Amino acid sequence: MIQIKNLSIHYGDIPVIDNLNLTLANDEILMLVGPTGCGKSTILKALAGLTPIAEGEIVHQDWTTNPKKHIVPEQRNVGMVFQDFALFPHLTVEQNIAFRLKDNGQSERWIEALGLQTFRHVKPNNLSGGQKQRVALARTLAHQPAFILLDEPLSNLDAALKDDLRWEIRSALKDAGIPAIWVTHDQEEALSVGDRIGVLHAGKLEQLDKPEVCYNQPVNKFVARFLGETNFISAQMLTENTCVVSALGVEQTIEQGNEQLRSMESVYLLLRPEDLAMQVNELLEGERKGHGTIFSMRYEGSSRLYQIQIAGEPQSNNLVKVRTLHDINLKVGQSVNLQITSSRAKTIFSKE
Amino acid sequence: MIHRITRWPLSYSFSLVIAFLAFVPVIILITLASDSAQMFDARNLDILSNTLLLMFFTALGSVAIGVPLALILTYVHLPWQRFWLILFASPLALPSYLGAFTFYAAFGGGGEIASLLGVTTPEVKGLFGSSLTMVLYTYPFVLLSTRSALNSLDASQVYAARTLGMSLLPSIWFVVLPRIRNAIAGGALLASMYALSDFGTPAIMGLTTFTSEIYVEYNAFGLSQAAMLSLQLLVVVALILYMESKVKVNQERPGQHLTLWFNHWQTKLLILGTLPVVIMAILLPLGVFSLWLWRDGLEYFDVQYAINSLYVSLLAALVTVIFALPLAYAATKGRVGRILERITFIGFGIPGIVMGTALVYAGLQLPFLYQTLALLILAYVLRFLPLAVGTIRSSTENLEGSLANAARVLGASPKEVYQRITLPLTMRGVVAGAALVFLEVMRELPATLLLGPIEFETLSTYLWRVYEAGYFGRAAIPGLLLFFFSALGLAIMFSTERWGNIVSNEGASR
Repeated sequence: MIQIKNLSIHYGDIPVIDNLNLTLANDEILMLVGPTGCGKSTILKALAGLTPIAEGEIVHQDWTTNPKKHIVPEQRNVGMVFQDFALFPHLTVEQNIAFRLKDNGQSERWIEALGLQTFRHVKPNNLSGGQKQRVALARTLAHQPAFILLDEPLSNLDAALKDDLRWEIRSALKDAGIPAIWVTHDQEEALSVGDRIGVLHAGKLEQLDKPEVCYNQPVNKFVARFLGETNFISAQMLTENTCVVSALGVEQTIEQGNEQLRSMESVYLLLRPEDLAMQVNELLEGERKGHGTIFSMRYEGSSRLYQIQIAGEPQSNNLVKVRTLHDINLKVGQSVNLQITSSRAKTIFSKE
Repeated sequence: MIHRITRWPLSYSFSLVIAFLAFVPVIILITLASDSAQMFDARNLDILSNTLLLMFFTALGSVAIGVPLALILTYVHLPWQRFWLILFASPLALPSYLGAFTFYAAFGGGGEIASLLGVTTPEVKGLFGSSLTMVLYTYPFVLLSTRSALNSLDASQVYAARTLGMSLLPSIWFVVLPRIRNAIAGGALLASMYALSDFGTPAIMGLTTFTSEIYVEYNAFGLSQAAMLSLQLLVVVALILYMESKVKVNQERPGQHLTLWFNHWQTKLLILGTLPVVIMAILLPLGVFSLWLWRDGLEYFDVQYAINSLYVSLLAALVTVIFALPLAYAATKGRVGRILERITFIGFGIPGIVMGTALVYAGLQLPFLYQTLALLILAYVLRFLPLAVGTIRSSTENLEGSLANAARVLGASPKEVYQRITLPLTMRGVVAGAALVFLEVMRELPATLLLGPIEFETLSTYLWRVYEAGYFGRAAIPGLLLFFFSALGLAIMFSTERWGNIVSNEGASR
């Protein structure tokens, strides 16, 4: 278990991480996700002892570090997997993996587990990106660290490779039973691989929870937007636990918590494009609630993302995104009816 | 249809003449040496072994100082990082004979340090003195080549090694150094090349090497023997240049930069630990010259020496640039042009003392040139032409391709392109090239010593006469002036962006 308490990091006078608190459980894969420059990689460097910390402390079962007492990287028993692989170019794959090992048991185990047998005596420069990252992972796992830090391990790889390798890394980490912090800027990667995800914004941790909680019950609009497509639709509170979406004329239950918002008259309701469905409208315009026309369509391969212009809403907020199956192909300008298809409790936000 | 240039450009004809001129010294030396009775004797063996030992110790010492300094200056987070870099690189801009002269005068039983402080220091002369001086003024070659290699390395490998449980120094030894071996070797070869060609230092330290012995033979009217030694020296030069061309600096994909954070007292300790190098190479010579100035005053210094230096340097810079322009232009025109440009680089490899020997003989054969300034200027031009060509070329490199095309695409006529793009960009290179040649000539010693007309003393030759006569105190003003001009040269080098390039050219220029 690793505990990060009140951690702050500065580069010169510029604060990069501000008062971060985080606990990594013993068998957990924790994803840190955020836009470029939010300080995710800096947190990893601080955990590895590669950058000094300004305030706070990091507590591990074997050591504790704080600004006064720096523990050098080699004494932290940490493993790190890098975006650019960081393989030693003058050593072969086998020499890389067994870099500081006295016996070959572990290196053999991971060479086999990750399918690297045929590359054993090859120098890293002759490998493809995916193979390089497997070697880097094997090297890290073979040295049996107490925890592993992955710094955007997939961002230098082709999109086609990412999905497979993502799962390969996850199952290898679970196999080895080593906890890991995995940094990425790819929300899809974060949502699919992590046991928990932490969303970072400008050096602050905005939310830390299970992927489905972060996705469905984001604590603020930034988290909501960062993890996927969003609709913030105007809604009127009906009771403590329900509201009505005026444009669509349907009642929705609201998730627990946030007493302050419940007392408001009018709020924003978060709807993901998948929460909505649409039908071709046979009736005349303006006759029913939830009526709109197709404003634009984006083809995404497995799906289509439509933007619907809803009647009777102010111009600034009258476009609603709807995701459909890829074979529903409608023309721009077509009249449609919108429905909310998901039945779970929804999240609301203040209108300010 | 592809239009091929079949015409022989005018710049080629001119370049051909200059390229031929570059060969002349070698041809002269070969004819001259064929008169010599002795091809190789026991004395030569002595000279050869002294020279090789000096080169070896120089390479060794410059690596021992240059590599750790490069590691510190590249990776450690220091306050005023750029200041330290310039400070530690600056001995490169100083002619090593200034150091040799002051070390020779400062150390030992009756030296300045003994008379000032009453502490007897060991003598600095001979092989030890020469090696020490060489190391102090050539380690920047290693520092700079190592630094540029270190800069191109990705920090992740070190991070990986450290998170795999290796501590800092072993990580550097096993993970960093193997990847920059060639860059270190390249820098060490440049340093030993300098040691091989330099005349002033071994001459002052009383070490018999090729360069100092050539001067002795010249003074003893053994011109053909001097020519034979010169040819032998050129063979060693060629060997080193060949080795240098074989050293390939491998390129890695650049990544994030490694930064090492030390706490305050560790940083202070690091800087303190490296300061002796600067104290020896810069502060001690400055101190000794200042001491002499304070003690002996101005009375023996004739302003004419400084005027002569300025005059001859200015003239040489002007002529060199005039010669360099068609060469640089020809080099952009095609393959033949590039070959002609390359040929003039021979001048770089010819040590000043060898160039002097060859042209002295030319002067003897052609009486209208004998003891004239024209012959001296010719020597400078042949020696420093590559410096000017290189600087001009680096400023015009983009012109033929992208920049000119970009201007054309934006609607500029060829004339406008020339006026607004080509000319301003070339001018910068021309001025920088002229300035570098000017400063090199100012500090040049051996060729000036051999070829300068009678009664024509420059700052550097006057310094030499003072040394020979033993009136050390009179070296104060010329020494300090040479210091000043060297600092000026350093400023120019750091303000041109291709500093690394110029530095690596410098290596062959002495």
